[in-house]
Amino acid sequence: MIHTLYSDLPTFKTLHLQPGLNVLLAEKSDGATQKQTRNRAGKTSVVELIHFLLGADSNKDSLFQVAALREHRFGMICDIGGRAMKVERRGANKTNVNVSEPPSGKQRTLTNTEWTHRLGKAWFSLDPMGDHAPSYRALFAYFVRRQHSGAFSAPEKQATMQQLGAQQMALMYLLGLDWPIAGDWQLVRERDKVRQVLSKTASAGVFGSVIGKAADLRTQLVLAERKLKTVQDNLAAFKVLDEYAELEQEASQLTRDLNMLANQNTLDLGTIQDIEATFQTEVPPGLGDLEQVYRDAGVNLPPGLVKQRYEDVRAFHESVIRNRQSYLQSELAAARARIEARDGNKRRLDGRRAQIMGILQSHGALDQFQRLQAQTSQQAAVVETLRQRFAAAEKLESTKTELKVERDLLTLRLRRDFTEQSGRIDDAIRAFEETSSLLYESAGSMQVEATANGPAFKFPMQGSRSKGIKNMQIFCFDMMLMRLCRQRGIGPGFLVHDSHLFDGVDGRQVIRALRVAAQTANELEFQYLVTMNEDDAFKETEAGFDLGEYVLPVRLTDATEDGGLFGVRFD
Amino acid sequence: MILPSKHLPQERALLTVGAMLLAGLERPKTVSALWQEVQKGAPAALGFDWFVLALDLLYVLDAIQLRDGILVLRVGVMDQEA
Amino acid sequence: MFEELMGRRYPGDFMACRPWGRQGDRKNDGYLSSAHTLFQVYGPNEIAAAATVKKIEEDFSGAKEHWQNYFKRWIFVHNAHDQRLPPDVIKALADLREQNPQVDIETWGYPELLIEFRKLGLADLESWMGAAPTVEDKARIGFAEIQAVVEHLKLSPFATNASPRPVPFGKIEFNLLPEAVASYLKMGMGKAPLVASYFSSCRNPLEGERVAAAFKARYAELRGKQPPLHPHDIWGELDDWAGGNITKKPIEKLAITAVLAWLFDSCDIFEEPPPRGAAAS
Repeated sequence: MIHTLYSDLPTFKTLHLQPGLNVLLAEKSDGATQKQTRNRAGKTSVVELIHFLLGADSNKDSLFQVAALREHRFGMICDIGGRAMKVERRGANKTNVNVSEPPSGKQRTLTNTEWTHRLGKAWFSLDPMGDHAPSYRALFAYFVRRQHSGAFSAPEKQATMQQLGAQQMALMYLLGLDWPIAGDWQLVRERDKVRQVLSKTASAGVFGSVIGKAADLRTQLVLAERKLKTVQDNLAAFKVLDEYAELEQEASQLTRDLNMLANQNTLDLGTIQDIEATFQTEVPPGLGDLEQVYRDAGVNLPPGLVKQRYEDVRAFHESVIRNRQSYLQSELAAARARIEARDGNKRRLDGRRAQIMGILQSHGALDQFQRLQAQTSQQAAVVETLRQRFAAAEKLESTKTELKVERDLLTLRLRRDFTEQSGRIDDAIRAFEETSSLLYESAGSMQVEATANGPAFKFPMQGSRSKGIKNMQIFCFDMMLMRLCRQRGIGPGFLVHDSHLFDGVDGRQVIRALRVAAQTANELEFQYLVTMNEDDAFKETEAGFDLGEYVLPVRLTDATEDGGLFGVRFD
Repeated sequence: MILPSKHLPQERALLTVGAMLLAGLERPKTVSALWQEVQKGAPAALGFDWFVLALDLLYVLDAIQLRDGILVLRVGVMDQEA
Repeated sequence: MFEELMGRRYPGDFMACRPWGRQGDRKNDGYLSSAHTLFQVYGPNEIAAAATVKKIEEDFSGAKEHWQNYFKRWIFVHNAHDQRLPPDVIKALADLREQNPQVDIETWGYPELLIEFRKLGLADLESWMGAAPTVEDKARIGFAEIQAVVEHLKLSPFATNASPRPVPFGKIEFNLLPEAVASYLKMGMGKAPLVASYFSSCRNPLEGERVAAAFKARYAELRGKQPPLHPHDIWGELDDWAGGNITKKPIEKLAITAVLAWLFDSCDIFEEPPPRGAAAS
């Protein structure tokens, strides 16, 4: 329990608290503007102060970093591990706290981190070195809910921003269930988040080409590997030939020679055809040509050169070609002999060329070899890249399956745990409903379910959408937590609610809730500190319950500059 | 035919061939002997029929005669040429 | 033909515009989206000045109406025989340019289309025109092929005594032969000496003269036709005539082209430009 809250700030209103219910009243004057009301007359400041002294971070937005408060020491005497301890901290030196055991205990300076470790150990038996355990701050926040982090939005949450995993873990821890399940769940969720991001990028956009589908990549990889093997085989079978270029030149020279021979053969074949055609005709040709020659000689040559009559010329012509047949035969024979000689030559050249071609085909030039080498290493790089992409894609796709399996296993594990620990869960549910039934005709209920997304806490209740009802669910939930924690001997031993808890709550409910709280705190021996607006507190009365007994002597007001908890004005 | 033309190169024109034949006839020869000789030395293929036409031209110009199957230069032809 | 050419030249970019229902072609024969260019094709059998001017004005204003936001260049594609548009047409185009400084107005005839044509890749040409002679064919062409051409021609014993002379410069241009034919000629020209050497070494020395004379006669016949044939049509006819019913393997086509080039080179076919220095008529 908290005994005292104090400060070296002279205007600070020191609070001395009792066991059980403590009510800190704040007066809301009519003249107070909205701004002043928000200006921490002190109701919320109490909550902030307790957090400040029990391990909260103090960033630049923190109340204890404002100029008016920064340099001042704030302190508290509070039971930790069964002993009253004194803890002091200054905003200006936020990393350290001073801890001592009154009356004579020596003061020790701890870092705030060490301090949280100590508190975690003392109140929640946390091992600071433990992996994936809930943090002390995450647990503690349930006992002193902070309005500004949204702790009054839902019973199971101590902050709007609280991750589902952290919340599940904290609650399972506090309820004494198998909390590592929730931790494992969070790991699966985080991996799934990474996987989703990856697969989203892998299936579309810029990275689509980088990862791609495993099935497509497998095909590509097989093809690329096959190609690599081909080039590697080529490389292995490659025989370098130094005279490659010379042989190539010789081969093309041979080709040219062969073409020339073929052309010449064509000519001679033409000659042969020509002559053979003249054998077919009876009449020796050439007379037409002879006339032409005779005519041309008269036309084209200087006059007087034609000395013979055509008849004489024709006689001469005929006597010359008397043996034309045999001449033509000899011409024919010569042409044939030439062709034959060429054919022999062609065969020789052809043979040589075939030989060279054979060599060229089975060997290669050095530069070709180098090209092949470069190609091989290039292809090897392609294969390697594909292999990695394939592995990545496969991992991505198999991760999905793995995660599903893990989720299924976790769900089973959770169900098993819920079955084994059903006693604890029933206790929690009962505790919630008891409190609830004290407040309402039709009791609200709490359900704890093992869903495929981990343990889920649900609070079905009629009209649960109204702010007041929600707040009362939180009240019931917190009372339930206190009950279970007291039974198990964990927790700080106090519960703090600021007046926000009663926002929108019907006056009857408020007074009833306070009575229930007073009884519960007595029964379970814990301290319950609540800050309230004066007019909310005394709207209604409850038979057999005098709220006045529990009101602290210190009253806060926003009517005057010095009416707040700190007694100074700061903006 | 006699003179070179667009598609008749000079070395194949009858006049050129004729001149070549004249050169081969510094001694009288049979047609057959001249043919054999010309065949060996001709730069381009020379068919018998074209060979005969060249001889005909020489005859027309009265540069050669045929005596008992022997081709003979007419007196003075070589001098004229020179 | 125009669509085919442009479609192959700019695949995925050039959009031919089919006349569609009652909308007609909306004054657009094709659109090159990357260059914001609109084409209007006009190919009558005879370019008449008045009709052409009307066509140009109608098409351009229609294009402006329908495609205003899509084109910066407007090209009038025509088929004037000698690339020469009548003066009225040229004036009409100049007026349009004057009135529409924001649009580049151009005209395209054979030469411009040829420039595009020559940018086509081999694969496109083959799929369009059929296989072209390959480098290997060019290397392998020999007398046998040329002889095949020659064998085919109906020769008449006929000799000429035209004196040999060099090919006059500018004969291709003078004959208004389009670039396509010019490039064929250049291809064949490489093999023309082979043709010449064939004729100068075959058994009958007059063979060359005979072939040339046959072609010359055929050319004269084509030249004299009424209405006159365009030079490139004459070329095509000669090519067909030379090829006759030979199966047109690329190598045979090349042989024919070589023979034609040889004839062109020796001025047996087509017109000779006047000697340089003489006034061009």
